[in-house]
This record gives sequence, structure tokens and C-alpha cells, in this order.
Amino acid sequence: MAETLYDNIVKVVAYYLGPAASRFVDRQITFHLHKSPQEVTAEDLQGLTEWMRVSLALLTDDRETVEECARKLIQLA
Amino acid sequence: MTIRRPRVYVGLAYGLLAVASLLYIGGTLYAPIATATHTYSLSPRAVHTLELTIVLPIIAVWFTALWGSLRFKRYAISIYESADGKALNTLANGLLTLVSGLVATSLLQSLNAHLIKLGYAKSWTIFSNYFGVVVALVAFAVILRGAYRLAHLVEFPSIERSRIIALALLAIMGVAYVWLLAMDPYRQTTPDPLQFTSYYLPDWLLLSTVVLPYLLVWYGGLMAVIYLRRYQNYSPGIIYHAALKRLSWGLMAVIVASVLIQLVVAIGPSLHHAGLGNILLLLYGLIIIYAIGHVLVAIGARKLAKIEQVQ
Repeated sequence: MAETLYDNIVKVVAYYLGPAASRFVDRQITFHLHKSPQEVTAEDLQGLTEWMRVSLALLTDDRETVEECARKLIQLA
Repeated sequence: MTIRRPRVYVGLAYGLLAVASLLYIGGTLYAPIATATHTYSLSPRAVHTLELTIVLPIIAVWFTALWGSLRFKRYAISIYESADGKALNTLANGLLTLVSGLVATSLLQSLNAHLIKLGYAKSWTIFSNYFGVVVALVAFAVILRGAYRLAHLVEFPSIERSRIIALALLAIMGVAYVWLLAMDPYRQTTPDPLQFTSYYLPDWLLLSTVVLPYLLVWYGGLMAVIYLRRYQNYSPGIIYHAALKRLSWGLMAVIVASVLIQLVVAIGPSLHHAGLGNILLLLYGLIIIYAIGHVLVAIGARKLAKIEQVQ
């Protein structure tokens, strides 16, 4: 089965949040985009990336890591 | 399908620990002190003072251990639907069993002198020794199961070399344990009815039902540490990893300190020649490592929980 955008987002975030990635992504999509995780589209990516940048900054002081993750997410569009 | 999450009764746990602490203080301070004065030539007043300096820090360690374990348990339950949540919950259950076992065995030990005076020395000693063995077996079996399940969520290279090192360590601990037990002149009987006898068991029964289970417990502890190290080293996630490290180191410190405390307590009667001060110093050191381990568990669990809470 082909990978969805959601799968790719989780894959990118998993590099930073490991097994917590899918739960983190699910929360970001449902809380900020008000849709179910599988319904996320390329149009949502910019906004979602901004929210994730803010949330990841709360978890680490390493700005470079946060920016690197945001860059990778934007490239999924 | 909704998965039913386990519940944590935090208030009840702290309440029970408070009751246990009061019983422990009472049981220790009102205990007949003839045994201790015979062994170490201490006055009754000195014995009570010494008891307080041991009892109060031990109670502080109990509360620290419960705090760390409950924090870990709450984090594990918050992600219970996931595979790592289930494995972590099993580990948390093992840790809580270990803490409960530590409190229960200390309570039983505080009653030793009372029951010896009442004439139940033999049955009480046998019961409390076996209680310690059973609790340790259950706690470490659960911890090992949790660590095994956690490690198998990630891919890691063979652990054969680590297993051989664990077996070598176990062999050293086993030889030291048996040798020091053999040196204990009071392991079966004593000429003095007021003197504490360590086991009241024939050697073959002591070896098969106390020594062997403890060796299994320690092997389980060492293997749990190996699996936790594997999960720590091979789990993905740069940010997750940093938080996991504290939890993992904390768990490893608790396991290693528990194993060493069990070893020192088991061979304690054979260490008379080392002097009371040295034995206490060693136990204090291990108990401090045990407490620090629980603090690390709590800090790690808090950091991991933050990952699950941020929106």
C-alpha cells in the first residue's frame, strides 16, 4: 500500500520523537487543524509545520533541531 | 475498540505508606534490643539513637521511591494504548512491586525482635526470609518482562556477549554469597536463645529455596538492565532519547541497587567481622543510589510525559 502524507509526516517526526511521534502528530492535527489525522493534505502542511515548530520548541532548547524538522516537513509538500 | 486503561490510586498508595511508616517506627523503637547489644556491645540508648538514624532516612527513601514509581506509572498509563505504553506499564508494575516489597520486608524485619522474644523465632525467621525471596522473584520477573518487551520494540544486535558478562557477574556474586553463607556460624542454630539465627534451614534447603531463587532474581535484574540499555541505545528520536535516558538510567540504578541491597542483606550475618559501621555505610550508599534512581525515574517520566502533553 502506498504511503500517505500522514505516514510521511510521522516518519519525519519519528526521527525526533521516536515512538511518541504518531501520538504527537495526531494531537497536532486534531487539535490545530480540527480534522482526523488521515485527512491531512498538502495544503495543511504549512500551517501544521508552524504549529509543530512551536510545540517542538517547548520540548527542546536546540533551535537547530526544531528548524531541521520543520524544513523536512515542508519538503513533503 | 477502546482499551481499558489501568487506574492509579495515588492517594491510597501514599496513605498506606504513611500507615506502614508509623508501624515501622513503632515496631523498631519498641523492639527488645538484647540481640543488638549482645552483638555490637551497644547501650540501649545508643541502639535507639542508631535505630532512628536508620528508620527516618529509610522512610524518606520509601516516599521518594513511591513518588518516582507512581510518576512513571502515570506516564505509562497515559500512553497505554501503544506498544511502548504497555511495556512501560509492565515495568512500572514491577517497580511498584519492588517498592511495596521493600516496605513489607522492612516492616517484617522490624517485628523480628518482638517475635523472637515471644518464642516464634524459627517460624517467623523462615516466613520473613521466604517472603523476601517471593517478593523479589515476582518484582524482578515483572521488571524483566517489561524490559524484554520494551527492548523488542526496537532492532538491536545480539545480546550474547552481554549475557555472558551477566552470567560471569552472577557467578562471582553466587560464589561470594555461598562462601559468606558458609562462613555464617548462626545460619542454622545459635547457642544463645536471644541471638538471631539467620535461616533455621538445613543447607540443602537453604541452597535450593533461598540461594537459587536469589541467583535467579539477580540474573533477571542483570538481564533487565541489558534490555533497558538496548532500548535506550537503539530507540529512535533525538528529543525522545534525551528524556528516555534519565528514565532508563534511573531504572538501571534502582535495579542494580536493589540487587546489591539484597546481596548485602543476605550475607549481612556473615559480615560481623567487617564492623557495624562499615556495613551501615555500605547499605546507606546503596540506599542513596536506590533513591537517586527513583528521582531520575520521576524526572525522566515527567520529561516523557511532557512530549505526550504538548499540543
